[in-house]
Amino acid sequence: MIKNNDIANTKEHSLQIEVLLHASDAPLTDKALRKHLSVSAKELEQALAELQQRLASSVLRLHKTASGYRLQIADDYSALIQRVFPQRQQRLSQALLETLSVIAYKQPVTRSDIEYVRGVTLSSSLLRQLFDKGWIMEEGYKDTLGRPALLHTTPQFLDAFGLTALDELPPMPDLSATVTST
Amino acid sequence: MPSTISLAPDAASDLADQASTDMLDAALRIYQTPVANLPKDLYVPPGAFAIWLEQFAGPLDFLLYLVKKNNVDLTQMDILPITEQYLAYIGELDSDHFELAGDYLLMASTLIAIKTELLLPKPQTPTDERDPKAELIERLEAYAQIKEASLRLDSLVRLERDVFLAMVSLPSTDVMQAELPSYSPTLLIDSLFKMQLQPDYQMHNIKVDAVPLSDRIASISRQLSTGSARSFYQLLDKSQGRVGAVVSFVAVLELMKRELVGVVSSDVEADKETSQINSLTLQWLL
Repeated sequence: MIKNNDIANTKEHSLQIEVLLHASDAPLTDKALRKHLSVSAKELEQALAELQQRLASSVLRLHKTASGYRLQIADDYSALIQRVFPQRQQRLSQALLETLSVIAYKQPVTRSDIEYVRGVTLSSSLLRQLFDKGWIMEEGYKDTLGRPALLHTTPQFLDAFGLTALDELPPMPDLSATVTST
Repeated sequence: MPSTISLAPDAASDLADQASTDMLDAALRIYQTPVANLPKDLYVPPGAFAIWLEQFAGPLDFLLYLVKKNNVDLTQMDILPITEQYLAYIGELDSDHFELAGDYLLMASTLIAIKTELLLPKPQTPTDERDPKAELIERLEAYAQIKEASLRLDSLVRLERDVFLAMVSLPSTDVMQAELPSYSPTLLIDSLFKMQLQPDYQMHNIKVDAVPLSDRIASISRQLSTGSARSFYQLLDKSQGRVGAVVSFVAVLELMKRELVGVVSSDVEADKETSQINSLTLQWLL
């Protein structure tokens, strides 16, 4: 009897999690979900597992990112979306990717650090784009002349690239390998 | 001259090959068709090089391309030929492409500095200055590393390119705000009523003087100018009561100020004994 109750609870919790994820415009963390549903860590884990199982037969998938859980459309249908809504596909220019890479791998960096590595003047519009996407932020100042602001990546950056932490970034390529591989 | 021929965008990828080997080869393609010999009178527009250069992310990217095309190891490379090639290409950039040229010219000056250093005999005394060649190679290496890293970053499964959010959630806040029924519809009816009632609120009550001063002035002037001298009492309109008397007095004062009416002096003398105000006789002066 008690066991049946547990199953019913887990099912209800999993439904509630799905509702919250649908209604939220940002990912929800373990902590937030536990608080909103007033459940223990173990109960949450069971409910999430239940949800994952239930979603398997739908087109949605439960995905854990740096800033929490979110619902996304199953990978199998990405091609369909790309075909029907090409405007939803964000392409990034080489300049933008290189700038983002310098910030991601060498953070914290200043604007001039980026310019030195890339050998090109950094256009403000490029940096603006990264700020607008919420992928980078300014935090602190470098203790040199002019006290330039230091740039970091944000949790949204990790979310966008499907990472949960910075150490999941693809390893920095080996120096000798990059130079000789022609 | 090979460099002018290789300016054609189709031939772009073979630019460096031609520069280094000074010959055309079959690797040159136009729409996937190998071209063995370019026509001698092939016209290459002057801006073509600038367009071709725009595919590079900057001078370091371009230098790296030259290094790779020359098939040399970056750490062991002889910097002179690369420098020569780089400068040869940049020489093609004309003043029309200043915005593009800036970073490239800076690099060119660095390369020229390195070239001069290499050509001049090295001073025996050790200096504090860093070896510009080593520094450039370091930068090239660091750039190559970042470029590769950016490719790896780009190959990650990216949200809104490779995977898509299920957007069943809230629409944008703007849409939400537009949908929010923050005002009651009765507000419209109320304001309509208020608008119609408006004229009442704007009604002004203008107080009309019971006895207009100007009327009294006109009346007194008429009486005195057409008739003989009269006493103040005779000038009053008895129907106007006390207010009429006050306004009449002010009217008389006003007329006296304008020097149209005067007090008959003899009567004043006569009235001194009785001191009766109503015996004050006024007369028209003109």
